[in-house]
Amino acid sequence: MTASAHNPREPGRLLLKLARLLFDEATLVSVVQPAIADLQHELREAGSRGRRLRAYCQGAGAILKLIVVVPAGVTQSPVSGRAMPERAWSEDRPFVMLLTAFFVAALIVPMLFGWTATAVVSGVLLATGLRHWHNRHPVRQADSSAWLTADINFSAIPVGGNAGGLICMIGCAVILLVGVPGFVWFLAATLAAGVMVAAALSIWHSTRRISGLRNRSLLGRI
Amino acid sequence: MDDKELRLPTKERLILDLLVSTGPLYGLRLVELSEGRLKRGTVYVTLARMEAKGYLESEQEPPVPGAIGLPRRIYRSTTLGERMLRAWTTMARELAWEGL
Repeated sequence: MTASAHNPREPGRLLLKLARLLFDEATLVSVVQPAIADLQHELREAGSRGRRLRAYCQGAGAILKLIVVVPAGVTQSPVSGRAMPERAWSEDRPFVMLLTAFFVAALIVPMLFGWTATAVVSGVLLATGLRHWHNRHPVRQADSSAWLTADINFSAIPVGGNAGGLICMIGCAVILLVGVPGFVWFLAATLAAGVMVAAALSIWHSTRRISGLRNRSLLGRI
Repeated sequence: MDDKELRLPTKERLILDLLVSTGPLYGLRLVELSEGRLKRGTVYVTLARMEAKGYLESEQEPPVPGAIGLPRRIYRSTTLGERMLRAWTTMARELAWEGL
């Protein structure tokens, strides 16, 4: 790892930080760092300010594309144990086309722009938060077969009473609120009702002294 | 090695071709030399995959005293990569006679 030689004012450090949150060390070293290193050298060799700006926009765009495309396609090589990215564009084409369709729709219909931009930013923050939390609290018994295909299946995601569940719930609520602002009163009412039911259940469980309740406490696991 | 690994996709062939004909190169230079056929947003993924397959090897460029930033990664073809390219070229040439 060569990050020690990385100057904090060098362009690309934010991209590198973002990539660190999303990828493991092997992917970072083999895929992301070479892209950032090339960008830094290109900027150093670019003469005028205009050329530098153009090079930065092109390079940063390419690295962001890399960050979006890589996660679903990186597997472990059975022979060497190294990160082995799959062919990115062909494997992820449906996802990329869907994302592109959203952006095109947002550009054509200005009303959708705010929603799409907020949804994308919320989604990235949600994914980053979940990944960060799961890195700190790795699953003890992982079902390896569940990770062979990259997909999003909410029915297969166990959302527990923990910080991951809290982040997921807040993210879903924010996306729903942004998409349908009229739901604000419905969400407020359900939140209040949920808190009351949770408080009542907590009081009931504490009087009945059921073991294990404290371990399931949401705040205790954050 | 299964059937899937025996294939040599167009972009991998192009990269091997450039590395064999030009010598060791870094990612962005490969993109420049490819004249638009390689994209800088995906070339590093392809390079890492080829390295995992054993077609390429890479090393960081030697550190320059006083230089800041990350060192670039230089890629060069391996003997296996060169053999794969030769075999693929021969096969393509042979099949061309059959009109395939």
